[in-house]
Amino acid sequence: MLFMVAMTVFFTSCSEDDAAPETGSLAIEFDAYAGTQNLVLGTGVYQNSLDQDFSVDVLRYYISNIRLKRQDGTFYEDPMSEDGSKGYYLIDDSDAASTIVTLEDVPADHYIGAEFTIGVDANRVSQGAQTGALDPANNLFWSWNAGYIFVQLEGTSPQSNEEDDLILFHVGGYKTDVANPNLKNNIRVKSISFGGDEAHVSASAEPEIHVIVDIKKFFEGGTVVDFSTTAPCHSPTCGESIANNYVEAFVFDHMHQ
Amino acid sequence: MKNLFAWLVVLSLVACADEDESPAVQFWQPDDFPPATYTFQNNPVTAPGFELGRMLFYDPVFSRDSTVSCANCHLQAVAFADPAHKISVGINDRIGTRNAPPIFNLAFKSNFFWDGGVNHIDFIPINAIVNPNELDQDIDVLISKLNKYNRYPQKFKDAFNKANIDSQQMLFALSQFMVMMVSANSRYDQYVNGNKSVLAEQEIRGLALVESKCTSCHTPPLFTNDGFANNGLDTEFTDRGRAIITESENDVGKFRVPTLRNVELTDPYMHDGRFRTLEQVLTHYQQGVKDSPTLDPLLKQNETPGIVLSDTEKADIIAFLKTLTDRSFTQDKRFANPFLP
Ligand code: HEC
Ligand code: HEC
Repeated sequence: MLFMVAMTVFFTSCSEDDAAPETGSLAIEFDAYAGTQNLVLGTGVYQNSLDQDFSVDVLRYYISNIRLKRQDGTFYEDPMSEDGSKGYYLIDDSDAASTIVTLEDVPADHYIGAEFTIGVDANRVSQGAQTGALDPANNLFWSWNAGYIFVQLEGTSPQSNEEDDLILFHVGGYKTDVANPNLKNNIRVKSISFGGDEAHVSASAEPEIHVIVDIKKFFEGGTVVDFSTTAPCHSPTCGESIANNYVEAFVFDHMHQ
Repeated sequence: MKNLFAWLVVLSLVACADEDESPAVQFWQPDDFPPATYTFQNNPVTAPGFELGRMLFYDPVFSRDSTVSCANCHLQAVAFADPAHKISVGINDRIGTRNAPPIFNLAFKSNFFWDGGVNHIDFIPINAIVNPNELDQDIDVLISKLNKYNRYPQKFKDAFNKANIDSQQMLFALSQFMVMMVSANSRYDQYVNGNKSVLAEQEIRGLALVESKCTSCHTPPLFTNDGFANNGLDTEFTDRGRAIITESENDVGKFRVPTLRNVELTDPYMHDGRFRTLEQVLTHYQQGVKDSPTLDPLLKQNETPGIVLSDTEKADIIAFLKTLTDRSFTQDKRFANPFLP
């Protein structure tokens, strides 16, 4: 009997207000392109701005710290769990399901834009071992320079001087230290606006935002990447210019209401 | 209402009872040490977690061919350093590139490995596991091995109470075992804590010399400032050291300042294990220091690089260094191989 009372007290103290606010979900699809063509892993052949042919075998990256912008300029923040199993998304272009990030329990509202981190914030790394998308068993973790690889793009190019014509871009690096200005922080935050559209989240509507990820832009823009000299690239310093390039590769395309 | 409250307290006490640890697995924070940096709030040390970490540390299941465990390169008798190999040898006798450092007082530091590439204890084992020169195994393969191995699923459940073993639990268990390794009971510590009779005169002279010539890098109480320095081993560095991480020419040839605690036991010395004896180390500082652009300014204060030392001073310093040996740590049964009787 007492136990029941205790349980009741326990449950009461945990439940929220009776009139729970209306929530819904919102999906963001990350659709990989090479210029105007849909990216086809393995067989697609594309050209960088130096007209060097290349193909992509692996494209994986982390998206985290997603925030949805309300009309009044404030944000709804996608919650992140203590152990990293929520709020961090590993997008793997070879796994279609992973390219659609569905945010659940989003308060009903009209959203006009979004913001997200390409990579994993430094605070999280300093918390030690994580699970879910951040499990190092996903092999997007640098063991020698402990931290996550934010973006992994691997493939081939006849211009590469590496064995088997490999091109390999592993961008990571989050460490900063006043005593060491050389340490590179390659965490990039991207803001997109829904181009004047509004995403109406409600219990009955699940808007879907389409973001195009144009991998050709990884290799042009601020720095033109020459596959004969810049592949492999797998240290924070080398990755800096790629990170500056790829922020521009994530572009809002359209939305389904 | 009052009654109910009392009941709730009782309930919550019962629910928390198994977190109430036996003293054997209480983390020891010595009074004069800096506060621990380890993220205990994410991974509190518990008796089952610690015991599990201990088993994992000594279990050869960790290597691809199940022949090598952490303890192959980290032996308790020598403060968890590697006495046998100048440069550590992993599976198939592959040669690594660096000498294995000892393991203790990790909980108080934030730079690990000779180049400081790792800055959280949880991530240290990943390097050893996937490194082709060490254990050479994919983490997911190791995790599925552990999930299938009779010995482990129940032990993981007792420690973490999750449905399946994952890498976080494996890393947490190893961290629980390793952060508990605190070495702060050498004769030097007893001396500092007021027992002045434990050091002989020569050792006290050595302490004064170390304080005047060594402690700006090897700073007590940890006997390291947790920083990086080039102490003049070479003029050109095949192992670029700290520069591998910072990618800065200013850091070429700088290595993490190692602790001097238990140094009597942790030969061979330096990142590549080039010196066998403390005499050789002291002779290096006295007359072997080589100049290079990143040589530490402290070693450049005289006409020739190095530290001015007479032979008696060298002997005094070595006598003092031996007072930093902590046998209560190297003989602590809590850290011994659980698979041996
Ligand atoms: C083949 C030998 C070998 C094996 C096996 C090995 N290690 Fe190591 N360990 C090393 C070497 C060499 C280093 C130094 C690496 C460096 O600085 O680049 C090291 C560094 C460390 C450090 C860092 C100490 C410090 O102060 O920076 C810890 C802790 C450690 N190892 C724990 C482990 C654990 C846990 C395992 C088992 C999962 C393990 N080691 C397996 C050779 C080994
Ligand atoms: C400028 C900083 C600096 C000073 C001063 C200095 N050391 Fe070192 N010491 C280091 C560094 C850095 C290393 C590791 C170098 C390497 O392995 O490349 C080291 C390594 C050692 C080692 C080897 C430890 C091991 O586990 O391999 C010993 C012993 C040592 N020092 C003793 C001394 C003594 C005794 C003095 C004073 C006479 C001294 N050091 C002064 C920076 C310093």
